[in-house]
Amino acid sequence: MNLQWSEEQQLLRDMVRRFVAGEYGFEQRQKFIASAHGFSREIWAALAELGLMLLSFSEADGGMAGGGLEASIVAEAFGQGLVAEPYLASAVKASTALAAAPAGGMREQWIADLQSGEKIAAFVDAPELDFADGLTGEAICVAAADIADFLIVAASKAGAPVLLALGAGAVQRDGYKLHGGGTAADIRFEHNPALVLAEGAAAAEILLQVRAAGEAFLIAEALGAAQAGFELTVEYLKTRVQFGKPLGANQALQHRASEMFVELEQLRSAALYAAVMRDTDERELAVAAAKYVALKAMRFIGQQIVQLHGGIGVTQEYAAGHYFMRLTAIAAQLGTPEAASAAIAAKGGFTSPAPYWESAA
Amino acid sequence: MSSFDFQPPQLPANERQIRDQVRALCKAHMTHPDILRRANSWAVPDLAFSKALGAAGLIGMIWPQRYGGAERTALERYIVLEELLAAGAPVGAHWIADRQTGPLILRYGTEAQRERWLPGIARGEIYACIGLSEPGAGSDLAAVRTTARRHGDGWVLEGQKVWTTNAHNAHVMIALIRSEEGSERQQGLSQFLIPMDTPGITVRPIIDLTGGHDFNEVWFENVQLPAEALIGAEGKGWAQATAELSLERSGPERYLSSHVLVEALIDLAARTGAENLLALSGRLAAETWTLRQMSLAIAAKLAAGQDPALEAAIVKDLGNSYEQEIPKLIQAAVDTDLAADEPLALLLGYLLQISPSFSLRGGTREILKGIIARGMGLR
Repeated sequence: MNLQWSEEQQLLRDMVRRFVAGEYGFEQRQKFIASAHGFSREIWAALAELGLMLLSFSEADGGMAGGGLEASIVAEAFGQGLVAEPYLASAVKASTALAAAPAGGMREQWIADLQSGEKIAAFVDAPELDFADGLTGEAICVAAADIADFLIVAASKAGAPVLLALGAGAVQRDGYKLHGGGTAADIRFEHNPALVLAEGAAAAEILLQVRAAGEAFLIAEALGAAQAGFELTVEYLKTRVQFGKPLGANQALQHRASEMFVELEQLRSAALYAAVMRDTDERELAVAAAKYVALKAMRFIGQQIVQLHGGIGVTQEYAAGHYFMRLTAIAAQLGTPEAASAAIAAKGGFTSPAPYWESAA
Repeated sequence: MSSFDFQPPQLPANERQIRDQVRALCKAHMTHPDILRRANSWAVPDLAFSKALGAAGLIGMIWPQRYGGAERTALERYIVLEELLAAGAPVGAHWIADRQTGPLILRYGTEAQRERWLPGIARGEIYACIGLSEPGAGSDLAAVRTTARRHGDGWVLEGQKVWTTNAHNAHVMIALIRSEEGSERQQGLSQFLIPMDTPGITVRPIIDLTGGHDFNEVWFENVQLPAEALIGAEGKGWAQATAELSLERSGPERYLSSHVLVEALIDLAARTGAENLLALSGRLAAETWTLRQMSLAIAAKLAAGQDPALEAAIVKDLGNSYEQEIPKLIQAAVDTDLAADEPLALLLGYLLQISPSFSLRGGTREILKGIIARGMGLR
């Protein structure tokens, strides 16, 4: 595996980091998430201006043909700045689905609207929804669905996968803000008409791509949040004086910081692995493996950020706790290490799900 | 090193009766629809519930009757606390007053101080907070810099406390304050009983990550107190304040903060019969039982007038680790969508966020381990 960033990737990395550091300080961020819609339209427009809405689309679709690495570069920088804009929902998941869908219909118009940043889309991963006489059923806690202009929905039609698109305006949505930033909505579809983007095996394949892209993004975002929270914690250990010496003079706390660093490096490797593998046929197994390592790492790092800061680590007004919150929220979306481990086994990962004498038969 | 001496006591014969009494009270009063109030319930204030407990003789229940107490035994009180916590009852308003402030006033207070404060606490009408931490004195409590200076017959306070739980509900604070000018570390500290409505006191909320209001900052600016605000011996504040910490660290609240989640798990295990849920319920029951035996043994020592500070540190550290582990274990075993609007998911989501603070409040894990190491003669 080539671990060197290409020149373009390096430029992207510098650009996004500079933008987040300059425009998305902790104080500004707190104002954005406290605002009516939980994010900043100006920041969203600026992200489009930087070309970040183009990454998921091919050059033929007017995009920049970014892959997993480009997405993870953005995700890591967003994690460091605790960026709460609906980038994952709209520019990664919905965009990945649209990009992979066959040409025709409204697809090109929607792509143009997303690329310009004028519209926002949410992705509804709900194969249990039935598309017969329109789309019917409920989906809970769909990220950014409250602020979305249209929805891309992975549902079922006569028992087979189907990928749909529909305007969000006519759909009943109950929106709210999420802990740790971002918004979501509970959705109720009632015979809502929708356009079919893909069906059958094609729709199933797109859903796997979207899931892998979404999870790889979250892992990289967690890496950014963990890195920033870790740096803040080490700084605190060096500067907070108790018992006449910095906290970091205590060997027990030095060892804890070392353990955090070791976990952080594992998280970094997991994020890189997921970013590279999400665009391959082995995505399901590989992303599950990355998730397993990443979940354990983000849990440990998040809790130690709080523990080593003490009381100041659990308040709204200081950034440390917000890194913990973001890591906890990301972990909640990714599931548990145990579930990831079961997924690895089910995919025939490192052990066979069935005893060897049965699988041989 | 003195080894940990476990003598779990025999529970009183009226145990069942006490449990039934508390359960009936909880059932009658706990009608609030928000289930999250049942998690971490000893941080949730409910003045009406505190008064109902007071009226039932369940606050200050081991104190002398002349101060409003009921002269019950420490183990009877322990059963009451267990029941309240297991039910997730909203005991936050009076919890500190019943656990620490009342006993401290009883032990070190003058007759006048006892008469002024204890009956109201026992009625569930007077609430308290404890002024220990300061911006520069967290784990290193001896770095306290808030000062009390003599002024006429009385005292004048200047300074700031932080992380003061319940200050916004409290009528009185017991604060650890530097009363001898130029003194250092543990020397020259005294405890003061400070009515929270004294002019010059400002309470500012600190909002936690879940949006909850538990902590506060408290400022003292030219706060004038009479001579009788001093409690206990002048200059003996350190010994008095640290003796109090055994009361704070060993109780059942140190392993029952996440208990409503365990109950939700047991319900689910019973409903589904799933083997892994039954096994996890069994594991958690075994750990709860062990912690309970240890905690009970300490309650018996406290009742016998001993100060089991080392044992209390062990129980708090173990209990916090256990109650922090519960949400993770349950999340791993139960296939639940954290976004779902059902009790287990709501409790789980809340406790995953709040539980890291369990190993901070009442003494950080690192400080407790240091106390244990000292008990082993290592420092």
